[in-house]
Amino acid sequence: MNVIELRGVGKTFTDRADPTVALKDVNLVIKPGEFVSIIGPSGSGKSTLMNLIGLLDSPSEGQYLIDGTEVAGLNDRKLSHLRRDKIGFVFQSFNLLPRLSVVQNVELPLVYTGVSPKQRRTRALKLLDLVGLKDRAHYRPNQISGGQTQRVAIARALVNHPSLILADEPTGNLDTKSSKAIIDELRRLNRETHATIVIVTHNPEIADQTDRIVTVRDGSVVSDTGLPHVNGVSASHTHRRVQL
Amino acid sequence: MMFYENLKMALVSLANAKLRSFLTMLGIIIGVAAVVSILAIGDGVKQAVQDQITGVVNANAIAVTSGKVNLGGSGQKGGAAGGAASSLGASTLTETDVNSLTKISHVTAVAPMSLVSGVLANGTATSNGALLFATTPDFSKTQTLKFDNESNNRFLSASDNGQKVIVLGGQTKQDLFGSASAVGQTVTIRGTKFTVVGALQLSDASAQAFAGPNLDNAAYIPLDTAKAFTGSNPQILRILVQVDNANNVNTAADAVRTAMRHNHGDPTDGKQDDFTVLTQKDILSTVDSVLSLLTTFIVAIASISLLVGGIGIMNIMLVSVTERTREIGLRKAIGASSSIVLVQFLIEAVVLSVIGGALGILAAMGLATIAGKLAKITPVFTPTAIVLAVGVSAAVGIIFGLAPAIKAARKHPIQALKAE
Repeated sequence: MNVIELRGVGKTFTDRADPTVALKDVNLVIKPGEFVSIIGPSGSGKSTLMNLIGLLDSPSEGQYLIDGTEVAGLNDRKLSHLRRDKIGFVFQSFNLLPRLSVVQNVELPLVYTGVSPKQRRTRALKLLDLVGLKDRAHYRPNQISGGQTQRVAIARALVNHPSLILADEPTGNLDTKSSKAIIDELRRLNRETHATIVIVTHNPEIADQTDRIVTVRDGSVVSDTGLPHVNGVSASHTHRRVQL
Repeated sequence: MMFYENLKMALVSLANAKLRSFLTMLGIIIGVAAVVSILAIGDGVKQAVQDQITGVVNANAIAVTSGKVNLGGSGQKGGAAGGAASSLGASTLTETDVNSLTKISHVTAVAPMSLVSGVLANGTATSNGALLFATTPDFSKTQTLKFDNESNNRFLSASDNGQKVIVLGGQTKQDLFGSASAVGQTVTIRGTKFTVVGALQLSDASAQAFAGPNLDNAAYIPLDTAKAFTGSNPQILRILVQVDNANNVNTAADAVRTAMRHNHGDPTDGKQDDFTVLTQKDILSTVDSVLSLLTTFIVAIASISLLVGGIGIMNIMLVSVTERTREIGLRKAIGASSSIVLVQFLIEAVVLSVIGGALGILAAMGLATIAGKLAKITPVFTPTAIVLAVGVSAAVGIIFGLAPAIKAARKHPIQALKAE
């Protein structure tokens, strides 16, 4: 089953003074285990695309299936449950709630899932360990660095076993070294946990580090490097393993 | 599950802005403190007055007074002005009434009280303003009389009828004889000498206001003596009826009313009662209804501060929702539905107001205790008042927290996340 399947998706903002077409006839399929970047300049529609993929907004036309579930016509509660269960978000900024500790931030999606406090803590600590921040579990977000914040956000994104990790400019606020560390982290998680990862960025250098680059311009997908598939196994793994 | 999580989140949010939380609560604290302390003091006053009334008016007594007294809660009707007028005019009570009432079952004593004018004197000492009552020996059975510590001290007896004897109230005795012995001495009234046969102790004077005339500053002579002394039939102001058992008071009071109507005419025949039958319960309920009305009125005024407190909570919650727009966006992005966000902010408002309410109750306990010490009453904190205060604060939180919570729930996750 495809993690993401967009069929002729379009988005028109009609609530504005002059209706704006942000996306038109976008077709995109992302398979489990892929490591994809969506790239495009400011105003290209890539943010709108990310919002649609992330179920933060709904398409004006076309069909969107996440993990095979058609999302059109779902109410707020069902959409919030899909976000909770299927998607892990990593944002450019304001990823963590400042009043909660690092581990409490990682636990947050599980709170909405209804997992018991004890299990939440165990799972959150395990993921903090995975991103190498177990010793920072009880720090406050303002006591850790920007790169660490993004790693905590990645841990949080993974905590609910989502089908998809959606990272919106995850390195936008970081220096080159930290940026590389974050992309390496995502790459490693993709390889080790087979998590499907989609990075939205305007930075070609970031995009170059992913397996597949989808370029968006003026509301349309203008290029897609695509992926060769070997026996149904995502080529990203074989490809990278060969490289390493 | 979600409720408990929300409660924890709310406490964390509030703990992170302690000063602001406290200032927000202040309106509720003041409102609840005002309402609860007023209720406590009101109940304390009520209790004190009740204690005094029950201390003075014994539960087994029925009083019949001249004129129609309008009592709230007693179910009787009539104008207060009419009652006052007939009290000031000629008394309608007669010796026939006294005789009729003695025949009622459960009645153990009937004592008429009539007022005789005259100043009491012992040499140069006079008792100013002392009321001179003419009554019968039965009077001692309708009151708890405490005699002074003298030998041969007694109340009027049947053999005293027509004799020039007198019993002195506590204050009167002191005015005339100081601390010296009074029994066996004589006092002069309008030039006639009376022998003192009894002297009473001073009683708790403050309670008398509710029970009728001040019995300390009084003296008692036999009714028959008064007739001869004044040369006319003294007017009976009040008839005191003693009943054998407190449980029979209501039955006896009804019988008294029937007997009185037999003598005076029945209201069903279009005649208004020209007398009033009072029991301890009637007096208590009258005082209660007056005090309750007063308390309710003050509480209503104090409740305005609860309204102001609620508006304060709404104001701060609206600010908080705006400040935390990005938090709302993030929570929605990672799986919180609009209703969860709504409940989160609603619970925060309720927690704020309920903690405020709890602090208000504590403040009220302090305030009422201090006020009680100053006013020499014991404030009464009823569980009802405390449960009510907590309930009202929770309701204030829900009512005034709803608008900010709806505002938070309606935020669009994308716009909320992008907010500055």
